[in-house]
Amino acid sequence: MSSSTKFLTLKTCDDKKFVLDEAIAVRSQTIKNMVEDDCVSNVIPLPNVNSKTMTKVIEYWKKHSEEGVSKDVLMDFDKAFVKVHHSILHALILAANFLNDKEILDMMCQEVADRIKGKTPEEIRKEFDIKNDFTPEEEEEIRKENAWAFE
Amino acid sequence: MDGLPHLPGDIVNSIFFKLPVKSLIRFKSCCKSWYGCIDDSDFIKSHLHKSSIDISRKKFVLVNSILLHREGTRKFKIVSTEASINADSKVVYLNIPEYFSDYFSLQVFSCSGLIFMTSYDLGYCMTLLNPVVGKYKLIQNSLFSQNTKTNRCSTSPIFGFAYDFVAEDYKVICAHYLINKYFNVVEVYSVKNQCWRAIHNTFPVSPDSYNQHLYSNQVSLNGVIHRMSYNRAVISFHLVDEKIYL
Repeated sequence: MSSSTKFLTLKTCDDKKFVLDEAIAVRSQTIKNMVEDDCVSNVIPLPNVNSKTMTKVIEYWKKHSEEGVSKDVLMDFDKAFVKVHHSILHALILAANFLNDKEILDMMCQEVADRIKGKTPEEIRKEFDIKNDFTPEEEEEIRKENAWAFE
Repeated sequence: MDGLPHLPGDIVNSIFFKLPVKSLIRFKSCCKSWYGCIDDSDFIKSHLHKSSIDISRKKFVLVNSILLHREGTRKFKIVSTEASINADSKVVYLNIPEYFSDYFSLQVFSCSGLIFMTSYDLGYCMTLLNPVVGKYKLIQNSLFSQNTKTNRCSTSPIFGFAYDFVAEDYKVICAHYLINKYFNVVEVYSVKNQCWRAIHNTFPVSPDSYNQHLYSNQVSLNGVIHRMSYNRAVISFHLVDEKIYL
């Protein structure tokens, strides 16, 4: 490793530290801005991200920063990467949003969309913890108007 | 918590952009705030725009006419299929209004998610079809076509259909060629304003009247409709300024 390689230390909300090559860490626009504004001291705190999620994010960053990786390999990697439990998917979206990594955010949102597109409103409410604030009459009317979408 | 609760609104919105229209329409009944987001006209516009630049979401419309021998009439079938080369691409039959089965000819144009259909037969029955939601709407005949009895000398009009991205409006173009007269009448229908308007910048008629006939296929790109005349001249109609260029 060349002597010019700079390392950053990231600290997650559960006090775990991750030492990472700066060139990889700046895939996060948030970290990049901090580095450019020169406000990086010893440790960068990530109060919204836990270590389990950060491990996944770093795994993604490292794979996508490797040299000479073919497109097919990356596609297979991405496919496997999104196959996670709801709760991890959720955490990854929030982490990607906080770290401002559009690539991961976009991929995760697509995964959520693919998972929910065939579901019923009832299943969606349960999954997103949404309270139904329509009266039964209102709901019935909306459903009637858009009956074709329920076929 | 097992699910995905409490995602910030802008993330939920990003997910909405990646959902097909059918799912979105269904999810309108989840709660009031989702209804508001999905029903928002700016959201609909952006969703259409994002879908139109995403090659994997592009769709083709195919028209098939079957001659029914016994009755001597035709039956039209319109199918829509994904433009992406995909093994599991689905072919969907679109429900077209019943009255089209009475017509002998059918012209179909599609642009930015809408389909415009019309017949060459008298009465034209110009119809707009939204293939995704399966709704259709009849467009009243143009001012000139309403007076076909008094304008008996006109031939079948030439139609065009495209999206005006400045006015954010779909427009139908109906050009009438008048036999024995040295001018044409061009009318434009605004889908937004639901009305016809004659435009004055019309293309000239050559003395050799049949030269003025145009090939039946339009090429519509970035708000300009192009057609080729029989003498190989390209006539373009610019939707934004509603002018014809030769």
